[in-house]
Amino acid sequence: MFSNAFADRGLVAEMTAKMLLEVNAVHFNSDRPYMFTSGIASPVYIDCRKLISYPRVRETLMDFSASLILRDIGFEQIDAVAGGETAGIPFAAWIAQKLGLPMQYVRKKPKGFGRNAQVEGEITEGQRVLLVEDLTTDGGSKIRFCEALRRAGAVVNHTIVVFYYDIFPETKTMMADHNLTLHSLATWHDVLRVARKQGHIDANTLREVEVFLNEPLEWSGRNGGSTRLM
Amino acid sequence: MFDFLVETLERHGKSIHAYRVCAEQGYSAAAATPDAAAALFLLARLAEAFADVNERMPITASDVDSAFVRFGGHVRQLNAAWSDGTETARLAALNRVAGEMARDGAA
Repeated sequence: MFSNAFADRGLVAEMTAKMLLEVNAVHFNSDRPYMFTSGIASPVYIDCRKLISYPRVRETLMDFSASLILRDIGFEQIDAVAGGETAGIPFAAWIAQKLGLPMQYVRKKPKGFGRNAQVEGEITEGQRVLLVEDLTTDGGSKIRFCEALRRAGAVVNHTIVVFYYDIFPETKTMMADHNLTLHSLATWHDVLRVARKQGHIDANTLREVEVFLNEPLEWSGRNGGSTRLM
Repeated sequence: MFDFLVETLERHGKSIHAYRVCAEQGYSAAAATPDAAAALFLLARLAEAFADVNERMPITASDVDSAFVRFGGHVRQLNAAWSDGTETARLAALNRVAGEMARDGAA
């Protein structure tokens, strides 16, 4: 069960950013840009899947997540925790364990037939389910997972991720349009702040990353990527 | 005949999303076009496999460009065979494209 104190939000963001950098989950490459699923070109890429291999890191992050859920959503507002296939599943399992709640996972595609074809695990009509994923870029996959859970009878109003890009204003608007509130431990702005303080990246790369974070679509267009979210 | 799939990829920025849309269109077209179903199914499967393998991975802009060029090459071969009109040419193109996909590990 959750045993941590309620850490300060700023400290959570800073510690999360430090851990992501420490386990080399953050990659910078402005010469050979990465391509997001949405087609946006980016000088930065983050791999939260690495976190599962570091027990002290993942334990701390899951304690942070549990405290965030209890503080921002409530102590008795969630009936179950669902992970999005694939990266969300381990985080959902740990959070469910900490909060003493049942768990499900949501497939990217339906398997078999019926309204529960995309959800594994027991789900009941009206069950209030928290969707868990490792990260969010434009929020598209959260909406798809959320819709699958709702089709199966769940009430899904909240989703939590370890890392939120927080560079597209449309993300939170789109989620709000789907009655979904996003919770996260850290954003690119936190990672950049810590990277700058710790001297993780050289000045040129840092400048390029800042340009991207401030104007992601423009940077993408100049580097062979899409200029709009699709 | 098959250019619409390439146009779909271009219209959606050659992204993973684009390959998902391309796969959906390819499967729908395969179901509705009996005389080109095998070719459309093959291209749809290729698009779907690309999206499955590369979603959320650190794929670079140059990887995306290379995949787009390969996909366009398959489409050109199938276009040519379907323009030629002979069953033999179509079968040969299907086998050639399927072989290339298998060698690329795309399916």
